[in-house]
Amino acid sequence: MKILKTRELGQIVEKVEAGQRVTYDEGLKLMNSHDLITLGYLGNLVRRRVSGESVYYTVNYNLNPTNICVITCALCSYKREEGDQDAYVVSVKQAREKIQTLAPLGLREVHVVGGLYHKLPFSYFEELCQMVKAINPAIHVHGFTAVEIDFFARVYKMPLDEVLTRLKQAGLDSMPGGGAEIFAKRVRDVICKPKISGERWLAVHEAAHRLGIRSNATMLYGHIETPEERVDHLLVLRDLQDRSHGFWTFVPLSYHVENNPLGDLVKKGPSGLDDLRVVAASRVILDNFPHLKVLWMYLGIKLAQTALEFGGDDLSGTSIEEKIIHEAGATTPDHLDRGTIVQVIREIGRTPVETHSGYETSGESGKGGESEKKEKLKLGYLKYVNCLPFYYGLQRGVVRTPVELLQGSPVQLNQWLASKELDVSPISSVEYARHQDEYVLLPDFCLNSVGEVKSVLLVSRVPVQELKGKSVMLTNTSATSQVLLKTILAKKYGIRPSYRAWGPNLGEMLKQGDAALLIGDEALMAPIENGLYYYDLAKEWQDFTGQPVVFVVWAVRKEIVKSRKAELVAFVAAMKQSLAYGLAHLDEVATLATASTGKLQYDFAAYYRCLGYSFSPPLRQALLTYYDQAADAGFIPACKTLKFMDGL
Amino acid sequence: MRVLDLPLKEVVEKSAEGRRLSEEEGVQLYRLDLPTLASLADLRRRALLEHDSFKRQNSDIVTFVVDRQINYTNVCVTDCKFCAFYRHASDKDTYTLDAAAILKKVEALVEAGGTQVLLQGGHNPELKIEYYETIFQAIKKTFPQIYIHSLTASELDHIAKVSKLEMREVIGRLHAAGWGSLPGGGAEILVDRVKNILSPKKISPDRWFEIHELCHTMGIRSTATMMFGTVETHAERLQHLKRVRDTQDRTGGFRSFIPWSFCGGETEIEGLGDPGGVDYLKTLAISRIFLDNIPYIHTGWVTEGMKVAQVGLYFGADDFGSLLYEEKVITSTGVNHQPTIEQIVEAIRETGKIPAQRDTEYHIIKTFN
Repeated sequence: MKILKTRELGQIVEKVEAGQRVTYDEGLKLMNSHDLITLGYLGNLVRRRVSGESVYYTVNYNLNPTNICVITCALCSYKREEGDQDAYVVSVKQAREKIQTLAPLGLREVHVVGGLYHKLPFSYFEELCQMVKAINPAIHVHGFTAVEIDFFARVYKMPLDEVLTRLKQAGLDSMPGGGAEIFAKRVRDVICKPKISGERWLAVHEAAHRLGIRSNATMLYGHIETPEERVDHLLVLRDLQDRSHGFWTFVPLSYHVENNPLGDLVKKGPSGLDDLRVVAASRVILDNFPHLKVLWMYLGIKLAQTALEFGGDDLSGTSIEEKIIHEAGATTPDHLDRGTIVQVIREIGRTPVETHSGYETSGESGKGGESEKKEKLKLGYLKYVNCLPFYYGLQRGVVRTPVELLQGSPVQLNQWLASKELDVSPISSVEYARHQDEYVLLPDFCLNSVGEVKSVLLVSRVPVQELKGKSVMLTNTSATSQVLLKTILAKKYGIRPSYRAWGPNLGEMLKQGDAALLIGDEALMAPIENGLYYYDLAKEWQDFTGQPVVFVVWAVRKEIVKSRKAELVAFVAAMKQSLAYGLAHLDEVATLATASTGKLQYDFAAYYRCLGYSFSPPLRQALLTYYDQAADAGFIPACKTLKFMDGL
Repeated sequence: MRVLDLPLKEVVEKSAEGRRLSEEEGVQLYRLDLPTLASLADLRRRALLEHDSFKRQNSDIVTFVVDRQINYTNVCVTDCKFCAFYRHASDKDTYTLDAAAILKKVEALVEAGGTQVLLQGGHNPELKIEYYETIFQAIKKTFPQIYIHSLTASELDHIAKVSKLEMREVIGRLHAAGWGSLPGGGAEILVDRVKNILSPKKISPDRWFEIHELCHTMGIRSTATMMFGTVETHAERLQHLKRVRDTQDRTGGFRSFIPWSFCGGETEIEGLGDPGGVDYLKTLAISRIFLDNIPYIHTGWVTEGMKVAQVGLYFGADDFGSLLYEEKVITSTGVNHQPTIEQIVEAIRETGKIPAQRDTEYHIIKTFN
């Protein structure tokens, strides 16, 4: 039965269902239509045909080498003049240090886009590419818009082909599609007059394709362009693709009005209808583009997920840093954890596939697609510095084991292990008590402290004894420490204040309540102020019970032990080596901690000396004591024995 | 169109023919893709709005109401896990508004062309029925044209308790003081299991329905809501919808239905909330298809943002809800997408529909052509 009320799009539906290409007039009809349901049907149809049910994403770092730009475009919020207070140039050394800290987290792509600044030598850009490849040749270098390539050719007085060839030799893998905006001269004269013409943009991409550099194409919509100009833009791209077959992905860019001169003219950005219409219509018109990318950073996560059901098959990257769009006032968060991206994709029943702009799904080869057939073990990466030693041998490449890392806070890892997003993970120790039927523990790892731990901290406006009837704010990133605090207050001090969970922001927490529990990096970095009381909970616990605290244990899901025993045994052996390497190189780990937190003044070496990582019998006994106390106070279910994975 | 497997195909046909679906069939609808679900919801919307009994002959009209939400107190004893707004009486930043302060806010609403006031607040043990009577009478005396669409079932229950009165008497006295209708807040998911996790101290689902039904029989109409995206299953969402539909069959007292997704942020439910837009749009569409006896369904810019809310008009919604002048409860979870009348009108118009301002009873006051 026919459910769709197609009305004016009826003929187009028939054509697209038959796999035929739409004409200019038909494209225009789509671009003018407010029949979003039919548009969605068509976009989805073409997406299924071209790309299937996978949704691609990457873990990328946006390297914006400089914000100095010699041209001024009305649409830009990002550019600065040489000499401006907030103008910057990133040195190769700075970029290297940054990427070195990110590479171990599974970085797959570095996206290099910046301003046009004639005082940088061409060798600088070559060095950036070489630097990434030197860290790890599998990291995909996706860099330089046609606007930058053209600028290089003019400033360094080289033919286009030479610029492209030299960058390719230096390590450039593919080019992003930026700078296309809308090709029509009428529009470019208003929004980006000093930029290269549409013809030049196309010529640069055609040259890149000829030299074996594949690329993306964008369209910035929702400002002053007409529907006709959009369709012209798309058809020009379709024609070039027919000739060159060099485009991977079409990336529609939803215009943001804030902080740029064009915004004063345009006043408002595109609506939700328009965003989805552009996705669907582009997907139908560009039938020869393998992929269509939806940028959650531009659309917000809710609309971006919806757009995946209107023709999108790529959710872009986790973008560890993205300066350009946020200067334009985007209110979306500036990065998404890999776990969140996977969740957004799984929620709609599609298959998440991690890749990079070259759509390879493993470091070496393969055409993408059904990468999940032989899955690696999914390991939780606890993102606090106190867990760095566990992973350090792995990160340095001293130890190798095939795992997929999902990075998150303790609470996130707890959830993902429970929901089977993870196979094995460090988790809050109380979580084992809550899931003792589903998990077994790894006998070799835990995170514990004897005496002070420094990273589990209660900050209070009043002495702890006076917290009765007061309100205590709990960081929403921790599970073990929440229970630890509640247990200490109940059992040691006999008080049960009211508790409220809150994001880990000390100032705001103390505005809302009388005391605040912080853990991990937020506790380590908490400013010391007069008039506040600070309690190290590990020390409080030690004073109370004479026992150390086990904060983190490593758990594996029981069914994984059953089905993948051999892999797990090898994995545990590798992780033991990784930890041993980390503990043998704690000075290096401390340096990495300094680099990744940016806290130069903090003595991480001293911090690591307060922590223990092996799960010895006294610690196992200490954990059971903690379970007893917490269960007795009613905060967790009783847990009388620890069950470990055998055969190790 | 994708070939549907047989049982699902039957559900689709049943829905397209305008027949009533069972809970199980409602759950099945989640398996449909967005365009199919949107088509079914749109069919149902047109069929309902063009039906004589709903008196909106033109199904292309999309309405909104201009109102002001006034949170009269932030002191609350219920400790609901999804709320970032409440304070304990012992907290430092508590407040309770008096009649003069509220009248000032209503005056601003009147000047802006508003018609409806939405008074909602915490469960403050200090406030007895006289407080509400005084405020309602004061509003009606000064601004008789303003419709008091206020309180929630949970607040009524609280008022009855602290005032030591029967519910019937509370409803009667407030009605006499000028109260117009009851918003559907405090519903969340009206299933015991979910309620006990999310808001154990709030009224039970049974009590929520009892109070709404009593209001309906005493001439106070109401709306129904559903907050989803926390710990409930799809089946529990449908249980919620089924109970709303059953009540409506008996009383006909619900004017509209308002589904909204839980917004995470700084509340006690860790790691939940802020789901993608697809779940929202599907749930909106399924609500429209399933609730075949409720005339109007709102799309929610407050929780979903203007972009997704506009898209919601394709998924069965026919009302943009309130243009709020103040909404402290939602903004304290960090969500804030306050649009202007012009933006709402423009968003509706762009979808090819006719924007219109309505009053609380869904009479059209002004059409924007």
